Amino acid sequence: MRAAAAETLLLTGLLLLAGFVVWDAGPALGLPESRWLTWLTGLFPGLFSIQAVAVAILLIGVYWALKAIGYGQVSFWLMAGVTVLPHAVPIWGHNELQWYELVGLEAELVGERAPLRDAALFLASLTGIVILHRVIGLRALSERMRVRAIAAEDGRRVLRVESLLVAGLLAASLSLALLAVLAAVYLGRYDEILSGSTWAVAAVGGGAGLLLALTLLQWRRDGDG
Amino acid sequence: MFQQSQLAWAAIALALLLLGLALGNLVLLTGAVFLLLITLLSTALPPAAGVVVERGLSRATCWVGDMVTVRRELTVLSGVGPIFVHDELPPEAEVVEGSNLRVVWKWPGRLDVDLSYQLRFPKRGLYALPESSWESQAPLASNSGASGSCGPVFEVAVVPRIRNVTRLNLVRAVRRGARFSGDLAKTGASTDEFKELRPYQPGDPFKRINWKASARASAAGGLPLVNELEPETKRAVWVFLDTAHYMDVGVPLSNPLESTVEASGTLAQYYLSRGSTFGAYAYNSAGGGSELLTPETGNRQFNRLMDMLAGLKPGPAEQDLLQSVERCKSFLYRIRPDVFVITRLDVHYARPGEDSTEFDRFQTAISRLISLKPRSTRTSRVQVVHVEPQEAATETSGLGLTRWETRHVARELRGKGASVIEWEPAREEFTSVLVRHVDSYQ
Repeated sequence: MRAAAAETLLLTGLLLLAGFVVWDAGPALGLPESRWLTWLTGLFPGLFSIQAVAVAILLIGVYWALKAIGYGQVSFWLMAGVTVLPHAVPIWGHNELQWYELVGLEAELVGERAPLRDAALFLASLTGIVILHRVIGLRALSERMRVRAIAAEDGRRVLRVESLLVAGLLAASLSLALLAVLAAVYLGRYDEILSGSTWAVAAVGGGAGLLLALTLLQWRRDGDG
Repeated sequence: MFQQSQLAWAAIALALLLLGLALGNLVLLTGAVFLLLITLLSTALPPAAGVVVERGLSRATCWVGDMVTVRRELTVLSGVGPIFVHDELPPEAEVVEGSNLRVVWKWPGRLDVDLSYQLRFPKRGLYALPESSWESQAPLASNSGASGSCGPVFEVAVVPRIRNVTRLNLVRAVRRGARFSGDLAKTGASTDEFKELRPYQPGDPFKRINWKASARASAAGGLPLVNELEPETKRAVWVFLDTAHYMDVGVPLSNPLESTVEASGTLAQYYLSRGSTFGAYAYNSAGGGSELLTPETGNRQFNRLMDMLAGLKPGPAEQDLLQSVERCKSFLYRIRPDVFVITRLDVHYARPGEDSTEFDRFQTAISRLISLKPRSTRTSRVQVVHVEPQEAATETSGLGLTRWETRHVARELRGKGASVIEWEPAREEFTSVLVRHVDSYQ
């Protein structure tokens, strides 16, 4: 019961954060062509308007309904998409390479925004989704131990350690990611050196590429072992 | 093999990375960095490996209700994460202390932990304890772990708890009646059982000289060889145990079948400790079979009886007492034992209109057993023990009729010359019944 309440609370927070992101991006819109954004922001005139709460409740209902009929994976990824998608609007404004102008697409959907703020909001959403995923995993582990009649003390100890590991993992990842953002913002002051690109993007992109390579190497080593 | 969720996170991170690089978007790249860090760090911890479970059992044979310790020591050499250790147990086993299902968290480095537990078996029988199975999981469910099984399979023989017959010994000490004079004798008449060849001694009957062996023998000091026969060993006892389904009724742990087992064990303990020869035959066992314990003496015979009793299971009533007597007649005629027949008399009662063949055959069997006795014996050497089923709480009038039927059958058997012992296990132990029965012979 407590795990289900934690899951619901987390999901509520994520949905309200998504609502805030949409509302935050809303006032800067003034483009008559973007009718879909005007309609969407009309749903969220205030930070915690009744419409926002109603939409959040509806989405939570959909989430639990899908879980109840056995579509747990679908419900999770659906909610993940719903909470991350609103970030597309403000994130679009931070594109350094605007090659899409050549095909007539818009350069910005919102006005000038601080990249650090948008990156923080985006990371907050991603963190919340990862935490939700682990809470679901811990609930499944707890249920599995209960069904197998594992001694209660043993089960509690394992869940405690797993929770601490998740917290440690998130703390380490967030710290390193924010460090990368701060370094990128600092480097962004020197973006005139390379025209068409920035040190920031190059550094962070290169770092991400290195991480990807390390991950693939790790997987290959585990696969061989 | 990595979990689907890990692959999904990696795919999302890759999409963010490619999009971020294509658009030169710092926020997207930050998201990619974060997710890649999550994926990399969570998969950097391998699941536990090098798992060994060493098992041992405190004893392979125990009484009903005794505690047995299953020693279980887990050793894990490497890896991180939870390890589940599970011992499948027979449904009759009760875990008294500890648990047969444990989960242990493994940190980096070697792990040695004691996961022993204690069991109790409330019912006799032969039980197999399969090997321990274990399963390891990667931390954060990032990867599938490993599984395996360790340790030997144990066989536990749970034998019925036999009550101490000390009281019976006291009765015997106080009343040195004729009945036990044979028990006190150290020598006596010889039986027909060949024991060994030995040189002739003055006084040996000529009919005992083995002429063939004497002719072949070269080193006997010129003396002939005689057959040494086994002396008559105190007394002989034989028990017929009825293990049909109608004995396995009532409360599971104290039904007539369990009482029969207890009574047989008590009789064996008493008579074997006095040097008597003891044999038994259990009929109507599981699978329509029977179990024969050939007559022997000593502690080894007691152990053989315990092994037989531990494995007894009820079966269909396909064999009656008369067939059982026929099956054992060669032993019965050789040792001329005191016979105990342990059964339920009410099932042999022939109701009016019913076929009375079964009861007639039962009476015929009793008569044949009585005919085994030497002519000089005054008292009956055939005892029929009726085991009363324990009355369930909801039953009231049913047992009254049963008792009436039992008494009718008992009267008929007494008329034939048998002694009938009506025993209610719910009210008294068999030892008390035996004491009272021994008293009645004084």
